[in-house]
Amino acid sequence: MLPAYGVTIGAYDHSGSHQGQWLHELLYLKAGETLYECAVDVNEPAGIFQYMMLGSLDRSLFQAISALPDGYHSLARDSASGAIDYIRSPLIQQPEGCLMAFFGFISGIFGSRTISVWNDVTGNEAGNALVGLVTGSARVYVFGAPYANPNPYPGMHDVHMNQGDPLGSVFHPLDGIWQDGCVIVDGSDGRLAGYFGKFATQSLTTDSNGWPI
Amino acid sequence: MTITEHHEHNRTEAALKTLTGWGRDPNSDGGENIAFSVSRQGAPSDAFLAIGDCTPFTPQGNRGVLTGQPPGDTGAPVACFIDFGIPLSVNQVPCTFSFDLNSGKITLVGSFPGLPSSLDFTVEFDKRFQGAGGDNILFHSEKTSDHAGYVIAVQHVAAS
Repeated sequence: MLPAYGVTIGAYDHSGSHQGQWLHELLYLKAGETLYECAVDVNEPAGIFQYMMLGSLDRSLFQAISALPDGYHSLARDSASGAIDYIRSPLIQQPEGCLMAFFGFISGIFGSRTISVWNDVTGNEAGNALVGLVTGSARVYVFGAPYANPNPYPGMHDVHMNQGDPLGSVFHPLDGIWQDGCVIVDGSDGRLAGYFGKFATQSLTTDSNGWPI
Repeated sequence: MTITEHHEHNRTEAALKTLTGWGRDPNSDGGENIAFSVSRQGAPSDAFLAIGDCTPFTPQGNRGVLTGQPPGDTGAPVACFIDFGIPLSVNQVPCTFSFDLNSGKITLVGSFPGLPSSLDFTVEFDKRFQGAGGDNILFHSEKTSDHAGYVIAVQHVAAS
């Protein structure tokens, strides 16, 4: 399991990337007088990173989180706390299921190969999609693990799926359920939308330990 | 080779061995990827800074070769030349990068304005330090293909 898990809520301030740390888009959120740095994964150095954008999440399934004030909040790793699980959260499964059905329908009509809701990253497209999502938003929610060292900024990392890593992977010991990272925004258009990222090696079928089946 | 030169040679060899370890497993020691920044110190108009990601590793000889990410990928190497006109501007020149960890030779290839398209130099270890989000090894150039001096920092970027 991750050492800690929670959500940081605030207003989008700006974004950027440090020299060398191009595998992350750094989102800076303002919560009161505090600036939080959130390192969101958008790429992978030697393999394939995948991302998914969901545009119309059900607000009624997000009330446990949207009712929280700005700042960092630790979350219990269960279905009641508002924690995120890519495989088990109805918040994600409902719209993802609709997208998959739509793509399946299109593939059936045109006889094309099955289109995945997950996009493989080859360049900066995930980072660009993420910045496009948060720019102009009313409120941003970043799920992941809090920085162990809050200097120079408090913040978040492990903002990606945190389960399903292959046995023997260095990330396998960090796996668990109800502890996935993502970015969800109250959009300027009034919609609740999200950015979700995973490494291609992570399985979308896991057991109660978050280990691949 | 004097005792001091022998000592420097050993430190360089140890640093190249460390880089080989990073290349073989970028996730070792909590790392994630490998980045570099090279500065060329020539005549003032020829100075530039080249930066990029060199995580791709090919085993070769006793060690291997670190290579820059391919064009279009995140972290693909780019050399930056400053034009001190008004207003100030930066000319970004895409380039390739390779670091042969057997010979300690670095090669940069690109359409560098006013310079040969291929520049290479061998390195000598300077220092190792923690900072800027990772473990860094600093080298300076020893033998160069042109009349310039180079400084390169290679960083094992810590995971976020």
